[in-house]
Amino acid sequence: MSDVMIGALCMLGSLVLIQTGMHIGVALMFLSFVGVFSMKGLDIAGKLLARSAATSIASDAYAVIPLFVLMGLFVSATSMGRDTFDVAASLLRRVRGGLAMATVAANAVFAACTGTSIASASIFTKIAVPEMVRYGHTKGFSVGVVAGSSVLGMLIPPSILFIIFGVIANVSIADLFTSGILPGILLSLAFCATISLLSYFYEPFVFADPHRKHGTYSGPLEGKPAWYIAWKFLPICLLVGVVLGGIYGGFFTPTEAGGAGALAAFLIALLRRELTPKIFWEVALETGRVTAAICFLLMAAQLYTQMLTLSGLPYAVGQWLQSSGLSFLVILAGYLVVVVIMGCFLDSVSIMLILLPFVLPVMDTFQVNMIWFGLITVIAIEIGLLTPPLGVSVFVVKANLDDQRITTWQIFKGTAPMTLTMVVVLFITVLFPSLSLVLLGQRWSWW
Amino acid sequence: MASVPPQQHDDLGVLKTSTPNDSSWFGTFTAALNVIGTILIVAMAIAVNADVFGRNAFNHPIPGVNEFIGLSIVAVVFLQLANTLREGRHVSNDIIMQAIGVHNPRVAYAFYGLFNLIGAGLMLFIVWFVWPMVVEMYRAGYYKGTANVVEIPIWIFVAPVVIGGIATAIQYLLFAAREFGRALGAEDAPPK
Repeated sequence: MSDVMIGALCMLGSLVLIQTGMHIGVALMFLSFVGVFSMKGLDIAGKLLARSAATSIASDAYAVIPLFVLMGLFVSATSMGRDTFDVAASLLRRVRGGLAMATVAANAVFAACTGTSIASASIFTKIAVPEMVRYGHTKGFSVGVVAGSSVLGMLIPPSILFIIFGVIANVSIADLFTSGILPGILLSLAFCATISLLSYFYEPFVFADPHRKHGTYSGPLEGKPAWYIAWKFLPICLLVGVVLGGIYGGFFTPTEAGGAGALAAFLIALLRRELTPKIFWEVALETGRVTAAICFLLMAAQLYTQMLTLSGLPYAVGQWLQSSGLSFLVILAGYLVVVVIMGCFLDSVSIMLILLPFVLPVMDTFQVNMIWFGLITVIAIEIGLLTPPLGVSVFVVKANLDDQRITTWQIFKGTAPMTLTMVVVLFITVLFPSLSLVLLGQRWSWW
Repeated sequence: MASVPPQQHDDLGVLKTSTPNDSSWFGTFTAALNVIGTILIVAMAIAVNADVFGRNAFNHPIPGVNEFIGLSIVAVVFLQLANTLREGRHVSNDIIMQAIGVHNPRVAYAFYGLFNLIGAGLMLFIVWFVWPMVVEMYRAGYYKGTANVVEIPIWIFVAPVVIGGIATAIQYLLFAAREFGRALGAEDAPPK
C-alpha cells in the first residue's frame, strides 16, 4: 500500500470514528499513530507520538487558550451580560424589532470579552429569550436570534477559533483578531437589518402578539438618567479596552492580553461582589477542563498533520488540483462548500483540524493571504454552528432554555434567517478581502 | 497520594457530581491532579500579569515567564485530562451512536467500550514513549530560560504527561469495563 493511500485511509478512518462517537482527539491521534507506524515503523511513530504529547504545544503561544478561557468564564460569572443587554435594550426601545437588535448588539459587545460562541449562546438564552417572549415575540424567533447572534462570539476578537487557526497555519493571532473586527461589525449590522426587514415584512414570524409589535420596552433601566446607563456599560467597556487596546496599542502580545483581561475581569467581578471563593474555584476548574479538551485536540492535530505530511497526501492533492487546471475561485468555492457541509456533522474545531493540513499547502500555491483565508474559514465554519443536524449553538440554546417545549427544530427554523444572513456576509468577505485586511494595512486580493 | 491533605476531600466533592464514585480513591486522585493543574493555571495568569506590569511600569520584565507558561501548558493539559474525561467533557460527537443505541443498545455499548479501550491504549503508548524522554531530560539536566539567571528544569513539566497519562488510561479502562459490562447485559444499564 502506498503512503498516499495510507494517508487517505487514515483521514477517512478518522472521519468515520469521529462520526461514530469516539473522542475526537483520541481518534485523530490513534489513527495518525497507526498511519506513521505503517509507513515508518514503530520507532519513528513512537517518537512523533511522544513529541506531540510532550513538546508540541510547549510554547507561550498556546498559553493564550487558558488565559482567554479564564477571562471569558469570569465575565460569564458576573451579570455583565445582563447589564449590556439592558443598556442595548433601553437604547433601542423605540425601534421596531429593537429588543431583538439589542440581543445582537449585546452579543457583539459581549463577544469582545469572550472567545467562544458557547458562552454567548448560554448566557443570552437565559437573559434575552424570556424578555423577548414577554414582549410579544414568537418563541422561534427569540431563540433564533440568540442562537444566530451567538456566532459573533467567535468572529469578534478574542476568539478561540482564530487562536487555533493561527496555531495550525502559523500566522499571527493578533492579525487574525484584527481581521475579525470589521466583518464582525458588518455581520452585527446585517443581523439587525435582517431583523428589521422581518419585523416589517414578515410579522407573523417575529411577533406572536400583533398588538405589542410597536411595544415600548421598559426594562430595569427605564426612566434612569443617562449617566446611570453609562455607568452600567462602563465595566464591559473597560474590559474590551484592556484587551483590544492592549493588543493594538502594542502593550501586550495576545497571550499577555489574555492574562491582563483575566485579571481585569477578576477585579471587576470582585468589585461587583459577584465572586465568592466557590465561584472563583469553579471558574478555575472549568478553565482547566476546557483547556485540557482543546489542547489535547491541538496535540492530536500536530501528529495528524505530521502523518499527512509524511504520507505526501496534501502534496498529491495539490499537484492534482494544479494539473486539473481548475481556477482558484472554483477551488475556493469547493472548499467553502465542503466546510459548510462538514459543519452540519462536525464541531468547529474538528473541521479545522481535519481540513487545514490539506488545504493550507494548496492555498499556499495560489499565494493566498492567510489572514483573509483564516477569516473566511472561520465564518464558513460558524455557519455550521447553526445548521442541522449538528448545530452546536442551537444545542447550547436548547440546553439552557427554561421552556423545554421549544423543540430543537423550532430553534433551527427561527435561526434560518440568521444563517442566510451569514451566508451573504461570507460572500461579501470573500469578494472583498480588503474588508478583513484594511485594518492591518495589508493589500491583497484574489482578483 | 500523601500530598493530598484529607480536608480537601470535602471541597472536591462538588467536582464529582456528574460521575459518582466507581472507585472513590481514584476519583479523588484525578480531582487532586485537577487541583494541581488548576493552581498552575492561576500561577500562569499571575506570572503573565507580573511580567506585563513589571515591563510597562518599571521597564523591568521578569525573566523566564514565557518559558514558564509555555512549559506549564503541557503539564496543565495532562493534569486535567483524567478528570476532564471522568466528567465527560471530552469533545465527541455521538449522534449516530445514539441513534443506533435506541434500537440496539448493546451494539452501542460495545462500540463505546471499544472506543474507551482504544483511548486507554493510546494513553499507555504515550506514557511508554514519553517516559524515556523524561528520564533523559532529568539525567541531562535540560532546562529552559537563561543560563545562570532562570533555569527551569524541563522534566518537572513533562513528568505530568506520564502521571496524567496513566491516570487517564485507568479512567478509560474503568469506562471500557462499564460499557462492556452493559453490552454483555451484566447490568441492565442503570444510569450510573
